[in-house]
Amino acid sequence: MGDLLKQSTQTVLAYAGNGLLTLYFLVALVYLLAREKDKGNRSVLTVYPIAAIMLFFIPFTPYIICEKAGETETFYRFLWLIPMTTVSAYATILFLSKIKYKVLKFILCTVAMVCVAIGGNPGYQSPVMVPAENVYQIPQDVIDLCDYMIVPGREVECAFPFELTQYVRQYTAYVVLPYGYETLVERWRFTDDLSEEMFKDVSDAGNLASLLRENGCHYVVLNKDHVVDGDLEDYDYHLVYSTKQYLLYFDQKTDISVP
Amino acid sequence: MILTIILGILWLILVPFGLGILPCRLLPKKYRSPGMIFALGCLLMMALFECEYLPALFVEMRFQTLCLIFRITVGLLSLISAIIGAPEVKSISFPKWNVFFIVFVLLVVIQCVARWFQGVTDGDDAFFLGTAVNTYYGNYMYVLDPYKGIHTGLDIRHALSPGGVYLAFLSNSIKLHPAITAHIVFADLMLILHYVVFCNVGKVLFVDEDKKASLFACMVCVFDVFGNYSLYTPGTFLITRTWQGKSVIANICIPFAFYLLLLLSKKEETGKMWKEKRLFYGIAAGITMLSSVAMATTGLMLLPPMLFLGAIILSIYRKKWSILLTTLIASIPTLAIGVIFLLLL
Repeated sequence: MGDLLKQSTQTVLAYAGNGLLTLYFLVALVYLLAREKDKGNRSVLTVYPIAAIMLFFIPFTPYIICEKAGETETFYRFLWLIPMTTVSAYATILFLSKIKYKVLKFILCTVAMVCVAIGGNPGYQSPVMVPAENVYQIPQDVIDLCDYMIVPGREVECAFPFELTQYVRQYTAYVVLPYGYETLVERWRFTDDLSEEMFKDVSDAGNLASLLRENGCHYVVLNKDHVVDGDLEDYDYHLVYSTKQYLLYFDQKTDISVP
Repeated sequence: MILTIILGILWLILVPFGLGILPCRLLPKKYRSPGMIFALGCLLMMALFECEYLPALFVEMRFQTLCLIFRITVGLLSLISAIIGAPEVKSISFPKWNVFFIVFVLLVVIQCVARWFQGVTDGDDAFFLGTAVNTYYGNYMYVLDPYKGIHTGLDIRHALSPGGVYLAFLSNSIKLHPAITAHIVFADLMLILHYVVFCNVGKVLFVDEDKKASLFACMVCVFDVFGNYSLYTPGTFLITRTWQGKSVIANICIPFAFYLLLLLSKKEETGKMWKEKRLFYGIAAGITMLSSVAMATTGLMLLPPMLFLGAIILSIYRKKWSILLTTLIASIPTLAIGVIFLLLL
């Protein structure tokens, strides 16, 4: 019981971030409880959110979602059911509409929005946002390398460095990977010998070539900054193409002609 | 390019709009708006896709065949809906322009344009777009590993929610690569749909108060833009993963379901009007639940509890238990998918 309550509390704390916009919502909710006259609005804008919060905190919900369904990682999505934006925005307007003086109204409206800006964090500055390199919004290196490799009528297999791995299959279905995005997610721990060799700070050329062949790779892409002990060319992996940051090697012992 | 634009207008605007006309006839006139018709049409299209996709999945139908059948079905339904509902189009109320509405439109346009210039390194795209690319090029659904491309057999854990396949269908329909469709076209469409839904929420909250409704929409924009206060908020999903199924659930399906609850909370109708409104609620609630499941399996655990919770509160407040009964009937298709999911997992 205590663990389940702890689970809900931890989820809320992680969800709330610095907590300022959650506080804004709670103040808005209390304001609506005190001031909203329309009973219909009260039932949906105050009673419903309170019920949704209670639903989140009663031990039954985390018990079913986290313990029975094993969805601990996605439990936070229940918090989406609380209409925080609607309640906060509606309460702000209701509060402003009670003020008679237009100038004061304008100032308070600006103050409210500044509070939101300070309490929140702009999504456009999220670390996952990067300038788009092309209309696909996929790194241009991936597109150039794949376009070079693609053979009409068949698939080719290629090992990519970790920073490019997740984008390859977003661009083309004709380049198959020996390991994919699942190897990049630490908590999944789907690593194999090849991905471990590829992701090492210093890879051994001989070991890498033999693992690539074991996995049926026709190509391998290496970052120019990646240190390889030895030369892949000594193991019949020949440099066939390069971009500003990456080198593409082809296994001369394989055949990629269309069967 | 010109072909893509023409097909885009057809499949992303005209067909959903046609689909939404008929169910919107049941809405009280003051709530009818082009945005509501469009939003309902888009959700209906997703829900219909789920209904056709599931049998297709189990008979191992090829993706191209599913696309053809779905295009015929949804095209015909849209045409029929538009013809039957045409007389009612006159009663649609268009948004009234005021200074706040102009600011709101500008904020939405800026967000749509910003989406074109920002790539996202989010890892979930490897699954969502990987599935779409596999389906688009491979002609099979959920039998290839989206991360590596190797054959895995049917992935039932994800297969009941065809978010990636729906994206592949849209790409196929408008003849555009899935990555461009997702990051540019579908993302902008979903952004617009999100704000359309919130505009209509404002319209119900502030009946006949256009300025306040527009100010409400502006504030929602501000809350969204600054909503990235943690990794998990709908605002974060809206900006960084607009096109993904989970974002559609958080930012369109759930606000739309909330709109339906608000609509039911208004005591303004007489006998026949109440029956029509309740029927609209039932149809729209069923569509919303199914469309959420079509986008991601997480819809199964979010939308039904939300609507039941809201229905219980409104049944008590309005002393009309028919609301709960309507919700129960509307949720039957979604609950049936949930049962299939549990049996197959």
